[in-house]
Amino acid sequence: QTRYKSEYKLSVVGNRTIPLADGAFRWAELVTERSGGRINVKVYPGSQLVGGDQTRELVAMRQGVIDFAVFSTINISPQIREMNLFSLPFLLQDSRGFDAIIKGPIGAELFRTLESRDVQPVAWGENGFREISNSKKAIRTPDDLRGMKIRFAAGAIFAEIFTALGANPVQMSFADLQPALSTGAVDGQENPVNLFLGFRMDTLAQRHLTIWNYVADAGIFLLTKPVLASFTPEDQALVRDCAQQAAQEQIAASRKGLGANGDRSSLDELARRNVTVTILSDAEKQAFARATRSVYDKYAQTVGTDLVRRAEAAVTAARA
Amino acid sequence: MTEHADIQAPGLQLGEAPPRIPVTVEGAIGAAIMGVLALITFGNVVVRYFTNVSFAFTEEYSVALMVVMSFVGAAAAFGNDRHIRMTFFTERLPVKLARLVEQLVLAACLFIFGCIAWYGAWYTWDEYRFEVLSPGLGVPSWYYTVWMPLLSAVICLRILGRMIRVARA
Amino acid sequence: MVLEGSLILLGVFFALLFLGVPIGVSLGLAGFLVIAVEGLGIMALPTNIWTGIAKYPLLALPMFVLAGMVFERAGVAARLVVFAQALVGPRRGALAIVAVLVCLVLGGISGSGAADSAAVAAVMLPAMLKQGYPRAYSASLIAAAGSTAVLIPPSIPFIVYAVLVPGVSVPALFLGGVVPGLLAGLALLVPAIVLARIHGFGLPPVGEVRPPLWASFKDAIWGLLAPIVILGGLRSGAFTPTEAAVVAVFYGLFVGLFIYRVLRWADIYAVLRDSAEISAVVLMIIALASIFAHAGSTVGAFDALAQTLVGITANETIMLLMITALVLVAGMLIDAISIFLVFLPILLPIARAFEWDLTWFGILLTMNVAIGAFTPPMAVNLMVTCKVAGASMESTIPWVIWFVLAMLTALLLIAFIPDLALFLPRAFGDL
Ligand code: NA
Ligand code: NA
Repeated sequence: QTRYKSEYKLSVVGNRTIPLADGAFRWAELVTERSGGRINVKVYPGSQLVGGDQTRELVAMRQGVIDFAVFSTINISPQIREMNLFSLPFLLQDSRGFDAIIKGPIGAELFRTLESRDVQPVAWGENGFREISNSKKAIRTPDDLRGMKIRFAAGAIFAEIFTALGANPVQMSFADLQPALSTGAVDGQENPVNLFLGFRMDTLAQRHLTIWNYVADAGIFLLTKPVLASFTPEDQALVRDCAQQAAQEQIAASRKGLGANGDRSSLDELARRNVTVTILSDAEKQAFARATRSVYDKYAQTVGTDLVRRAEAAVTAARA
Repeated sequence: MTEHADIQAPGLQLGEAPPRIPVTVEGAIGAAIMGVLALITFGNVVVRYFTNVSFAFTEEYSVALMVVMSFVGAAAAFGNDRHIRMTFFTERLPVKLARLVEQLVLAACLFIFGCIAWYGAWYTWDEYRFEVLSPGLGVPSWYYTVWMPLLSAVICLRILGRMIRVARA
Repeated sequence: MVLEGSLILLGVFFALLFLGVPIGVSLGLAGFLVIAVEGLGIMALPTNIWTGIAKYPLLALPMFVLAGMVFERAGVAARLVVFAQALVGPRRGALAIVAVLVCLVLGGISGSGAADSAAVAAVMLPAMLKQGYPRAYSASLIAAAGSTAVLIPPSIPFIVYAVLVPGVSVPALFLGGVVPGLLAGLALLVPAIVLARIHGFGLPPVGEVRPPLWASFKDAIWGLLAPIVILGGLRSGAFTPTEAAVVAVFYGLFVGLFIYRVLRWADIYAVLRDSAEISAVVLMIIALASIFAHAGSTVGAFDALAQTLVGITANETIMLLMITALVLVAGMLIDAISIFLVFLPILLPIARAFEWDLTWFGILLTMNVAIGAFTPPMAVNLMVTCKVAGASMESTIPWVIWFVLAMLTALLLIAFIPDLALFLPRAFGDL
């Protein structure tokens, strides 16, 4: 066994007010506390270890700049092609479809893909379904998006989705998103509702929000293989257990207040902040799904057609 | 040689010769990039107002071009000693001592840009072998980042050039 | 680790700075040494250099530098001088008043104080020297008045502040800077006129003809419209800051090439080349300073400093005065952009603890760095004007001190009456 470091660096995008980052803080707290400080994990929020550019976290882990991380799948999809599965438009549809992926054999398969890249994933979490907001008008049909400048997080698939919908996609890191919204450099963005609330995007001129559940990102709790290997077997189990617990809390927080089990607190909060919320019916979603079908088919090949067919079957079975 | 007032004229006169390879090369590249950036951005405004299309996707190129411009411009500024610095104290030294101090200053600059070139090359190599794609357009990321080590090496050459010229002065 | 890291960070930085190492390199090297010594992950160097400037919102910076330079060469300044002379009329200190007025209007086009000072110094210094204004006085006045360019929109420090501080918008800062900028200009007029009277200079020659008001106004209208095009386009939401800048560039090119006809096609190349280099110098400081910021926050130096500062006093007024003094002293030594990159990680937690409005705080800090831009020994604006005037920087000290005090008065007004800065952005719904 090698000696433990005095501090382990955990990187996460965003900050405590959003469920994804909160899960990272919980993981760090649990590990530090239960190990009696033997494994001292410090969270660096806002992807600050990589200058705010969350798409560089995976490379930085492999270079030893970051020890632990909580990723959103969207941010590693430019490097791990299979992760684009979560970004196929209108594949997952709701939490039942989402759970069918992360809790089933497909989730295990995706973890094995990650393991082949020097990192060790230890738990699936959730960032949430991504809903679109903008400063101009309510979006109900693809036509409403026409000409709008929409920021996306990462992945050429999003550039193609929004181009197919007639919008102007612009890629930028989360750290740049706030200045871009506040300067009016972009009209809109897409992120989970609880992130929208946590970052008070209503104060950044985002007045309209459309619930369309077009894609969802999972959270991934992981650490580098050398760091995990440096721990005793008991501590390895401890790190995994803490990740599982933090991930469970993260998933619950991501889904909170969106209507499940009669809890509409997040939607009510949006109304209180004068955000117009448009909830699309299944038929209205179909119009968007039709418009982006070609992108879906193209990226199904990037992800692996076989994997996508099995994912489709799993989602259908879970929602039946 | 560029004559612009916005960058402080160096108050420190060490009597060195001008660079043998004038910075007009860097100047021309910088000017071209600045022109392209302005045209792309203006084009986006015009096209957006008169048509329904836009080429916002070019912003990935614009950002990368801006970074390249920063390194190229920094090289030119090293060639002619136009980086913002405080020479209030060194100006008051005897010229011989001032030249010695200037060599130390240039060594510090050489060290940091040498490190950026070296570790930047590793960084680009990592992006290449990990097959990192750019987050916007999905092109290989190293197409963009490779300019950081390459142009840092150019900056190192500019700094070395000045070290030699100050030594000969 | 915290103490050792903090000492290396600050000690190395100041040692290099005083030796005359470029500011960006001083910051980057100090940060890099901490990263290496404390084992924070050496690959943070290339990562942060790249991500420090490969930022979409920063594109506004080179575009505003370009816009400022286009107008500097488009012949706008000379026409504004004639119009201002027509307004002010022949009286003691007339040219001093004209210089301040022209700096304020050009400040509405240029985002950099040094560029504003340079443009006005080039047009006005010969006339001022001819009328007996001392060289050091003229250099001091124009450097001070030119510093208002970072308060009156557009402003490069405001763009950098908005990029660094989440939730603060460029339009709000731009609108919020208007009144403080004009107040600063007014404040500078007091010592400008009083000094001219006490020392008995600046009397126009007898029989000097006052330029006709209407004709000079018509001639200057294209320049006077530029700030309206920039701020109006930004306000109406028609343009993003980057686009507003580029629209200003093409407006300026149009005026310079086809209306005033002083710009030749060859000048355009020079403008592109020079603005590229100036932007590069500033962007490289931002890139290297991000290493400093990374090291400081990773090693815990910034948290420790902020806590120490908060521990000193719980009194809001005292804290505000302390910060003002700190940034003023820092402003004597380092430039505006570096001040933001170095001090914001320390000052923002304090601002949040006191629940200060971050837009107002940004305006206040920018006023501070504006003053720093003409206080020796490291005074970018003053270096520029001294060069044009042929004066040494030491010779300006007896004059420039009065302008520093005048602008400090304006700063304290904004510090204790935040509404002076905030009512405009509030009225336009930007806050
Ligand atoms: Na300005
Ligand atoms: Na100063």
